[in-house]
Amino acid sequence: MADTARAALHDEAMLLDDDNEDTQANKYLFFRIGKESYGIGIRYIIEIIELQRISEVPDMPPYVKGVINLRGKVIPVVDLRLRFDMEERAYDDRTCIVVTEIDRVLIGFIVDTVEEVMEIPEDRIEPPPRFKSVSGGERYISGMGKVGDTVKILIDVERVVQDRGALEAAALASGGAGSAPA
Amino acid sequence: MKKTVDAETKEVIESFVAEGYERLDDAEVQLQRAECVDGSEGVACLNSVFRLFHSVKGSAGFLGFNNIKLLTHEAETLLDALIKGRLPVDQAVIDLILKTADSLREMIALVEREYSDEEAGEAARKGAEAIGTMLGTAPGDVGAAPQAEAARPLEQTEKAEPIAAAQVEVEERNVVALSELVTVEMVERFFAESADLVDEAERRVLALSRGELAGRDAVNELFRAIHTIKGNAGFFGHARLEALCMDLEGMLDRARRGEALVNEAFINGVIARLDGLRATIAGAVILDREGKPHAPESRVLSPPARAEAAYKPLGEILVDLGVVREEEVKRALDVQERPLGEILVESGAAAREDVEKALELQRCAGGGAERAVEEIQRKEIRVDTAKLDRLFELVGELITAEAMVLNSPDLAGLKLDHFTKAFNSLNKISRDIQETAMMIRMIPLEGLFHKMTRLVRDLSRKFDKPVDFRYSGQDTEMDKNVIEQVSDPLVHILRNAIDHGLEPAAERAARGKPASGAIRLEAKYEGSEIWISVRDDGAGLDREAIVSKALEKGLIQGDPALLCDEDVWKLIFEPGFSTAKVVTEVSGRGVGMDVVKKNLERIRGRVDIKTERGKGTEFILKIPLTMAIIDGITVRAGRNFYSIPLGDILEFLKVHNGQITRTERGEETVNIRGSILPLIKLGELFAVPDAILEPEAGIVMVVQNAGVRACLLIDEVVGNQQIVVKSLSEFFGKIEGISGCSILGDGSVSFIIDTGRLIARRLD
Repeated sequence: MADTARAALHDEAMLLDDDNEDTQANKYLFFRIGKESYGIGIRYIIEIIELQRISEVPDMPPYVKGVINLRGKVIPVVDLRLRFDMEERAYDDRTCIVVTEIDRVLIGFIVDTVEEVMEIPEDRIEPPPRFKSVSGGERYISGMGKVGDTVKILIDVERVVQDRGALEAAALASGGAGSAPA
Repeated sequence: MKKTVDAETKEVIESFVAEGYERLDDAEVQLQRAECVDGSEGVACLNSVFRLFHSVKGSAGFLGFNNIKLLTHEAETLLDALIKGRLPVDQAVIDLILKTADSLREMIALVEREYSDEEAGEAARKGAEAIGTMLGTAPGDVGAAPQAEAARPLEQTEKAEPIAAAQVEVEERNVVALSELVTVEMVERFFAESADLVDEAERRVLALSRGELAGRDAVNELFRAIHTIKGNAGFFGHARLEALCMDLEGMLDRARRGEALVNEAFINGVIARLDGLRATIAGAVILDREGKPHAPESRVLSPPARAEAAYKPLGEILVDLGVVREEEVKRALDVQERPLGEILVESGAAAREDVEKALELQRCAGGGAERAVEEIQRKEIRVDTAKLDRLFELVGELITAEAMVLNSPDLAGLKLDHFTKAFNSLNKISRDIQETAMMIRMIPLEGLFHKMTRLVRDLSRKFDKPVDFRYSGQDTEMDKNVIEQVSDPLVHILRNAIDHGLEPAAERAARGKPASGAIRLEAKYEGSEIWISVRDDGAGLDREAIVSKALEKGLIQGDPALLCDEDVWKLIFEPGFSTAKVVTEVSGRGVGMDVVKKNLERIRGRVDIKTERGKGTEFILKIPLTMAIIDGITVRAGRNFYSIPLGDILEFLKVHNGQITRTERGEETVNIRGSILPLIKLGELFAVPDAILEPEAGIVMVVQNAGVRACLLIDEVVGNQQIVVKSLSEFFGKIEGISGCSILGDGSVSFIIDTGRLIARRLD
């Protein structure tokens, strides 16, 4: 089932490639992490692939899993579950990598499973809840989309990858010590 | 304000801009030479500068860039005064011309942006004024006379009756003499370009004859093409070609002004003259400096008689034969609607047999032309660098794909004699393609060295330190992208050498050194590297000053006496490091030397310093020949693959526990034949899951970089192969010890190890 859904989504994503920005504006690719459904704006999506062999890159925080070879391009993959500080979970045959292009950089996101492409009109999107941050961490949600009775979480994907402060701090902590200039 | 222009004009302007830059660069080189040499050679240099400015002026005038035209005209005036000896060639004059060239470059940049030089009026006026002042101070100056005189020789030839001019000069031998300023390559390029232009012109004429082009525009285009050839021919001193072009120009000009009809006869005349040009270009002989003919393999020379028999218009041959007088030909040409011969016969000006004889002569020369068409061989074409980059990328992918085929699991365990044979020949071809693709991107360092010559000159003036600057090895070829990375480091090193390296005149005299500081720029191949060195005979680096500065900045701790000289010299590459007591205009702020290091790291090169107090300093930039493909050995640690450059690997060995010694902090060393080497566990260093951490269980690899040796513990050796380097995604930032990645035959990713940095992660 997962395969056919993936193929269909893939086709749709490809078709959308030809469309202009306007028709893509309110469309999202939804995927599941744990019990919730998350969406990324379709304009970022390049393709959806099955899990591949990942080579670990040193000096990275745990959520940066490493790199994969995507038809000759070596691209980083980020585990969204870990990025959102959720508990790690073993990958299975429904685990997918959502390949995105953000600011001309290709990045793959590992998600539990891919669901569907859906349009959510602007007036059905509410701003994110205003909880006080417990951990002091950044929030990556751009809004909450209402579809019938269900609520889907819309991700601000640029913030997910551009929040490099944490990434660099982690790199420094794990690898920088030995290389400090004498 | 940006002017809007149509696509075609845009193209013309773009080529004007490109040529303009080139010509100014060339002019600068010649000027600096003119300053160094005296007598006739100096005049020759000035003459070529004059011609280069004149070419810029011509094109600018044609395109209506009047400010550029004005300033180049003034520069010509000044140059003429120098050539004629009315003004001494001194530094002030050369400076002024160089400054004029700079202003012109700015104006051309303006044209590049806005397709117009209208905004440069002020700059042009200022430049012209400066030149006027300079001329005004010239001894024996009589008002505006030099200016008028300067313009005259050129205008004279230009305005002269074309046919008459051609007649005189066509007798010139069909040769181009080489000189110090004119290389075979330049002449060959000139011939190739001219041949292209002739072809282009012919296409336009043919289009014109088919009525596809509006007459006026086509004639203008033709005129431009021929004018370019003429300009170049003039530069190379090829008088015959110049004369032929002038003749054709005259004809086109009359058509342009509406004085001649654009009819069948006109077109035939143009085509015949184009053939004549082509024959002349093909038959041209290049004379080397001793005056002997230089015959490159690719150019088959016509027999001398043929080469001499260049095309001439029928009328001219008749005049030469003494059959008719020039005026009669001209009168006939004016009414020309039919072949000239017929008119002349009809009007009784010439006998039929004479005309036929002349036509026969003309055909003879034409025969040469036909053969010549085959003889012109293109030696080079212009290619967009983006296409080259793409080609290069594809070749990289080809090599990777090939490895994938060879390592395909489907082939495992099969007996593949024929396949292997076929694969090997495929492999050989793709290696050749790879090598060729790399060669295409190589360009000689000459251009870069010329730029440095100018820089040194300017700096020498600025610091008032005379410099004897020489370079060698300018033929050394390097990847275009690499040259761009080397340019800035060289600028900084030269600045430093002149500002800090060379002592002030008094000090030099006290030390018994010549007044002029010597700076040598040299490039050479050294193994798999190219070395570019900058050597000065100045004061050398001051160890004490560097050490005290480093202590002050907290760059070193402990006893500085323990540091070896090499480590001390390396401190000058630290950002913000400067021992200069006075911050001068161009150096001493401490930026610069770190640029040297950064740029070289980017191209995987390094820089060595040799210095001796009081004797001088030498900086050697060591740059790998290629940065895209390296020979390496691929190893495995845990599930991951790593590739190490072959040159960094000394040996592989299995060790037993007796060779391992643990220090009090748990660090391990390996005793290899009496040398105690530190052990770095790759799996541990990079936190690789499931990597072998027991020295006995894995393989120990002895690596060396920059004189530091270490042991690297890995799981196993995978193989030895050429590795196509890819950069890691910018998402990762910089990872210490990894310089890039590569895709292996089976599709897995391998990380390329930067051995020096890897060792530095673990060792001091």
